[in-house]
Amino acid sequence: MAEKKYNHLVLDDLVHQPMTQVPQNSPYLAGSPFFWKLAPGAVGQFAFYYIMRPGMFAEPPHTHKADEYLMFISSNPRDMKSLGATVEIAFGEEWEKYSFDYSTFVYFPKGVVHCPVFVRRLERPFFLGHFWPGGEPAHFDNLT
Amino acid sequence: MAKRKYDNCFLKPEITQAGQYQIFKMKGKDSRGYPWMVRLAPITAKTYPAEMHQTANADRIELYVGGKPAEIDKISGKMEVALGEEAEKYNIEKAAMVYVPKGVPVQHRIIKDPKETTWLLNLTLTPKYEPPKVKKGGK
Repeated sequence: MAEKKYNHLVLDDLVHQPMTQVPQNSPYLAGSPFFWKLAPGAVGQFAFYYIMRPGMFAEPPHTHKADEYLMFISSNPRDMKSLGATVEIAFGEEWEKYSFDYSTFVYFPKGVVHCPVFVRRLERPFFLGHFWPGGEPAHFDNLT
Repeated sequence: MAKRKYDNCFLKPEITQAGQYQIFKMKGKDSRGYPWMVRLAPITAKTYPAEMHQTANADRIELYVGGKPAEIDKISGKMEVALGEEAEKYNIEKAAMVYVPKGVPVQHRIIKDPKETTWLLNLTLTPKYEPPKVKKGGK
């Protein structure tokens, strides 16, 4: 079979298993380093998965070298507004806590300390996505 | 209630109705001023992008996502994505990502309707982030 021109841009092997022993999240979808090397000019920008259980995320407070967005999105296709969960998230060195129960994007300007994230209440799984619109060297240095 | 330091970091989505389902959309600009967009919708005849050629002035990602948390890799139905002026066809029957470079036309078609919830996440990207050049100290 002849090789297709755009074959390198279509990836169907993008499921990764959770990194923790007692996973709070489902397997996640993300490109692989191999894929990002094949797509000229592309950089890794996202990971996407379900949050399935309440509790504290594993990530300790940290910063990034580029803007990051965390997507908190309802998985109810008839109600995309209500998250079906209550989430607390901390900003800054002082861990200033914010709580929400609706679908939103949380914006972390580069250099701003964020986390921990705590899912205080969960009625149904919701989507969580990490999104770096322009990629981020700190995460993807080894790909360039 | 007094405004807090990071209140502006919580962005409000645009949610629209499409039949019995809803479409989630978020738009913004990165700190350099480049626009980005994220859209999440269940795949139906009313929400799946039309068959017309769609070309954008930015790189885009399409992510096909299963509707069951424990089986995120399993999607219902069968979709077709055609890339380029040649309309090179690819069938999507499990979780997949399609990277659509700037200027490359893309067309979509549902071949077999999903019987269970299957999601399409669209990301419109900004140009690659380039860190500032740092001059190395020397004598």
